[in-house]
Amino acid sequence: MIALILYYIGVALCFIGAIFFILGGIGLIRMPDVYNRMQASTKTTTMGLMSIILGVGLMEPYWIIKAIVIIIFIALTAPVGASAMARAAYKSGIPLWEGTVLNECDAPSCKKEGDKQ
Amino acid sequence: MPSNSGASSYAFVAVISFITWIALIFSPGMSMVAFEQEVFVGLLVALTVAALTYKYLPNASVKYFSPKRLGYLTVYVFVFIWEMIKANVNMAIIVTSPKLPLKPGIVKIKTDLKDNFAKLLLGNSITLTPGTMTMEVSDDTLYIHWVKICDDIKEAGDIIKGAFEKWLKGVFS
Amino acid sequence: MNYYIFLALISLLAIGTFLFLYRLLKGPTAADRMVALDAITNVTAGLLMIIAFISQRFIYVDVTLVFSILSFVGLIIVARYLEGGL
Repeated sequence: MIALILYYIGVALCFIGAIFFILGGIGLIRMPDVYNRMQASTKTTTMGLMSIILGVGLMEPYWIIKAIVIIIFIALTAPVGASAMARAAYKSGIPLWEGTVLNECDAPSCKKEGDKQ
Repeated sequence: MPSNSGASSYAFVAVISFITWIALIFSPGMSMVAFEQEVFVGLLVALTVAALTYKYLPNASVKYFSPKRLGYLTVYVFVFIWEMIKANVNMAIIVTSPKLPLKPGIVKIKTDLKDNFAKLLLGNSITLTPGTMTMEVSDDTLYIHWVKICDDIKEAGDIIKGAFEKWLKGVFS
Repeated sequence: MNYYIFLALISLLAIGTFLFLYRLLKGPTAADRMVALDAITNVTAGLLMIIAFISQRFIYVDVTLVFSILSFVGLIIVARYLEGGL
């Protein structure tokens, strides 16, 4: 009985994850510049992947330990990858969208390639 | 902190390595004998790894195993999960609304955290919470790309860091 | 019944992959393409987990772990390359 309930919760989590992947895809297509696209795709795909892995871990209860290990690993690395990519995009001189209202970025490691001080 | 003794960080690294080893080798159909052998090898590996690496992790210490800090860490994990769900619903609303309600900008905020791992956790939490993404961390300043910037920049730090910094201070103070 | 559940699940993942693939092919800059590729590796990792459940092989879970490690390393290397400081 309890296994059946866990199974259906797991299936529901898998569907939620898949729907978040599709939302991330829509965001990646509609957003105007690379930074906003990164926001849309990173958040939704990380959450979707964690949700699918947890769902499979609940469907097959013996797998839950390794599923949690993978979830912790993803929670630690996916945002780091996104930050590295955003900084690389900024440093390689990709312009911000024209609707951007504020730019306070003045870190010494954030200088674009063009403007040597 | 230099006040930390080497033995303390050695013990911390060994325990964390051993837990990671057990979590990685565990598989459902394992016999008891195989599991005992793996635990024995795991002990050897954990002690060796700790002996090789404890010098490079001077901030690691067994004080992080105290119940108070683990309690703060648990609360932090639940706050993080809740904020992540909120962030994704928020992003889904932004993405599916017919006119994209965007007002992006890069702000910089200060943090009080000193420990490097605490800053990593704060940056990760900020990336996975509503509409914000860490672009760069240098010393105590974080540069944040924000999808929908608030009206008053003075309050940006409090809005972005939210409840995270409080709990992380509890863990890493 | 289970057959249709997993068919629907994998179809949803396929739709998502095509959306990312559009940005991967069209993206004006290299950073756009790399973001789309990272999203596709995430979809693939989720698909591997589902395949592990369908075929009841525990070893595919390990494959998922190694796959996510390798995709993370690849993303960091490309980011360093774009910064110009490989």
